[in-house]
Amino acid sequence: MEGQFAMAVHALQLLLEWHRLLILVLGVVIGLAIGCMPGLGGVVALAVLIPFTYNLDAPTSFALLLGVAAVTTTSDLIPAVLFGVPGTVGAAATVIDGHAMARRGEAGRAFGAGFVSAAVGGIFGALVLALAVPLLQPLMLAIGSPELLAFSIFGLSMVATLSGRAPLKGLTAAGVGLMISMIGSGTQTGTLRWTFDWLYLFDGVPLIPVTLGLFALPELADMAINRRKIASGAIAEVNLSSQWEGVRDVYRNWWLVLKCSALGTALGVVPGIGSAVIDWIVYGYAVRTEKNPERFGTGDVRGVIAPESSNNAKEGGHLVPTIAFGVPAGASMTLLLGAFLLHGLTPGPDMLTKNLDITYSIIWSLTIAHVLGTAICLVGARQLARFAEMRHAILLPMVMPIVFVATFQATRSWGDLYFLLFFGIVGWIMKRFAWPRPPMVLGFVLGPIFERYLFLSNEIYGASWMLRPVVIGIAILIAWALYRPLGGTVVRLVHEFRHLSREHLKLNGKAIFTLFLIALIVAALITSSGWPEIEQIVPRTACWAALIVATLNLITEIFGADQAATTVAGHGHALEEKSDLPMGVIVRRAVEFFGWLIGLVALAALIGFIPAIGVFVVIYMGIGFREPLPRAIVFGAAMTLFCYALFDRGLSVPWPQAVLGDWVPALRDASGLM
Amino acid sequence: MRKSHRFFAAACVSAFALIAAVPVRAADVASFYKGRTVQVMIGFSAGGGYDIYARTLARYMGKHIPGNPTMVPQNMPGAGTLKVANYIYSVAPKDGTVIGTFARGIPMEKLLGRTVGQQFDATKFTWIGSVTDEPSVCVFWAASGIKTWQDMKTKPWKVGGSGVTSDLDIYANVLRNMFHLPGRLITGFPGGTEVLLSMQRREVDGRCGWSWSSLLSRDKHLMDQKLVTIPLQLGLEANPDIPGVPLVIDQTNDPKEKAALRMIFSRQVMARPFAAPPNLPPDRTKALRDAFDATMKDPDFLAEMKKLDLEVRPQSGLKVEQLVKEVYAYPPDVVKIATDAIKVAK
Repeated sequence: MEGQFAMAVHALQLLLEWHRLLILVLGVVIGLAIGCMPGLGGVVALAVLIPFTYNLDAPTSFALLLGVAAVTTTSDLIPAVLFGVPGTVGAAATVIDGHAMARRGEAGRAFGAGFVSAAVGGIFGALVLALAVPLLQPLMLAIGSPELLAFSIFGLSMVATLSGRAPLKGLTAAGVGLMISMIGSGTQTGTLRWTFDWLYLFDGVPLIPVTLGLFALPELADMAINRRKIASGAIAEVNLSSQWEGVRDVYRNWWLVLKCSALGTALGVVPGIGSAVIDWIVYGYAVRTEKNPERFGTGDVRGVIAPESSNNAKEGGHLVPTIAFGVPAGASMTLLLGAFLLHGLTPGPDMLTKNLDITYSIIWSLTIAHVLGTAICLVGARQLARFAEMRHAILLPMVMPIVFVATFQATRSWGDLYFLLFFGIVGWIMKRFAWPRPPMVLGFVLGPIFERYLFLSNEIYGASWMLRPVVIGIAILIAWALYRPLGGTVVRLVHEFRHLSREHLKLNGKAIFTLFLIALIVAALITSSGWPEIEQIVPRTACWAALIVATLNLITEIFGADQAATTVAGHGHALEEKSDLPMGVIVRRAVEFFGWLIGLVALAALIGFIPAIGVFVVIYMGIGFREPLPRAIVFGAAMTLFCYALFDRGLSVPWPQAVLGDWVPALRDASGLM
Repeated sequence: MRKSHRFFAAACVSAFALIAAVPVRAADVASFYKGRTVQVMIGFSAGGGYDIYARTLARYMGKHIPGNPTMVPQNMPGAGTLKVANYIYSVAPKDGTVIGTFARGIPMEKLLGRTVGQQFDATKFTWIGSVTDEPSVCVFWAASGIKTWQDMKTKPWKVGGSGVTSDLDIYANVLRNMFHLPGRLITGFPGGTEVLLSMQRREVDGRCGWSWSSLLSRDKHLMDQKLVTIPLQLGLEANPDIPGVPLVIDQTNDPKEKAALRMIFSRQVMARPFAAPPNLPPDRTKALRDAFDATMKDPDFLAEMKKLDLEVRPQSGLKVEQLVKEVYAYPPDVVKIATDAIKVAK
């Protein structure tokens, strides 16, 4: 133990040498900037920076990489609060209460609470990692496939809480999310499930288009529909004293912060469970355990504190299997493992003996990065809050291209954009009709983990996997998580079905959307009937379950009394847009908005991505929003330059070949952009 | 003095002859590559084994190509590297400005009956070479009691796999099908490291398909502490570093079965393959292959690879090309034995 302490001090001294500290600060700044940009997260930042670490020594490299990786989930709060658009996949849950607070003029308080709980969570995760160092190996050996399976079921059980008052819709969404996650090559026989011979789908639908589609586009669409500033008083209000109020909120809710940090760290250990679901699971957990749960969703600061603390804590958890066994717990850790190899480091026992100083320097980097990140955010928040003051006519043309290219760089395929649009439209309709969206993400992310470990557990242990102590412990937790929401659900459903009547018969937009989902599920059932049995089990079970629940939902929609009473926003999804616009205007503006996006995709195919952004911004501002043309041109040029610098120079995205490049090859050769 | 004069004259003549003998083409190649960039497409995400091989190659190979183009590595992961193989074969310009790397098993997939999504003919790639060959081995946790090939044939065992197209699954299935072994394959692990973790938990007994070099560089302590056993080598030639461990090819006397095994395990020879699009101008093919071979002898490159603990046992482009062609020329009955052997056995 004494040796370990000395090693920890030595590692800190290493890290505090000025050049390493400088690199760490640089990493933090890059990480913060990337976290602010919707769609870009730690994975992108690491992929870009790893090649630059070739010539750095190991502690310096990890200072840079962890500096970046740690803080993207700190600054992702900023667009989430200001615009309701999550900065990374991990900030979707923060949007609900954080954005509601901003609209009430409490952006500063949300910032203060969010940044500080992020730092506390991050330090908590690092501390757990530090304390766990001597135990890492036995800890990981105690967690086998059955335990991982139990964790994923625990995550799925949060669907009950996150469905709020719309349990049928929530379960349908979770089932559909699970079905979508089964697209791709099956793990057991390699059967290509629902890929329709489209190469893009062999690896499954990527996470980024799903989360950005479900959570970012609907907010942007509503911005385009309502055409008003997000918060007029926001900037006046974001200052140190309003943020201090948020800091005090963290202090007042210290027990919640600790619980959520612990849960975030624990979930972070499980390979595959990343920030896209950790925030929702912890949010659901907070709703389930806190007093006055009905206040969540209305701008309750606890709804910011819970996901923010857990999401930064998870990094410490992620590092446990990575360092101890070289098993990456998430996409960012896969990249970090690459950096280990690059520096001749072998994850495993060496990291706990011979290279213990590196391990501790990783832990220190993580800690210092979190503190630095939060400090910079607290100081800079006032400047960034100015963005919320902008008019929609300027904000939308600036944010849309970033979301658009950020999605494309996920796997660099056109498929990313098609799915972004698809999930954007679906997400917007879900938001309008008060369908909870988080269950869909939970089903989508946890589905493959569930399937994988279900088969492995059964193959290795037979049915006896259910009797392992940790599994039983988690099962009790699951029962407790399900008990209350399930009871309430049954009562509500019985009530609803008692009031069905032929007199209410109607076929409105809501019913048509449910019918669309049912058609999708039936099509999925038909196309999957020929698969080998073992590949059918999970996806088709999800299909049947979703089909039954969706049909019940359809019945309540067609024969139910007016649903005004039942569609009040429950926990886990944003408040329904309260707009006094007539339905016709809303639909027309929504069609226009998605029309513009489709136009952007088509334009990119025609003249290349970067030129398309310039043209799009000018037309969208000039014609779409009738801004003065000179202003539109200035903004168009600025956005083109910005996207060129970031995506072409910075991320060296290989651009797909555009039609114009085929016609005029000279242009392609000269610019490299088409 | 005279002597040295004569020597000087001779040297001049021979030098001139050398310059003249190299076709004018070389100058063409140099002027083509001068100031250009050559993209190195990597079918994996940043940080993996293939990625490090490709990035290190890219850093040194440029200066061995006439005209010294800049080599720019670029990741294009997707569909188990099918995406990048298709890209190199049919989309990338066929002028020598794109080379790339993909999973070593990809060229044989079609032969083994998996054709979905493939838009290439493996024999027609312009093969540049493979940085190393990589013998693979079966590794068992010592406590499982599987120490020898004889044990594998007589005692029950469980090995882990990571999806039906992975080497782990293919090798395990081949062994079980062809030699009727009493083993089971438990598949669905995310990757080899997870299988190793599962071995340590004693959930599975071992894994068939672990590249010898990564076993040495990353998990040598397991061998030093005698925690693992190696009952079988998987490859075409016995590796002298693994003495006394039988080679899979030698375990059958049937020439057709031998050929089928050769077909399946040939991928170990081209362990880190690099290829360019088909139908390159011949002078550029030669330039790229020569540059690859020269890089493999470049002391700076070798020092870097040693620092990174990565093996270099270069296989020339020509050798890889011949191997792929040889394998694709096998008669249908051998192919059938091979495709039957890789089928999932339950």
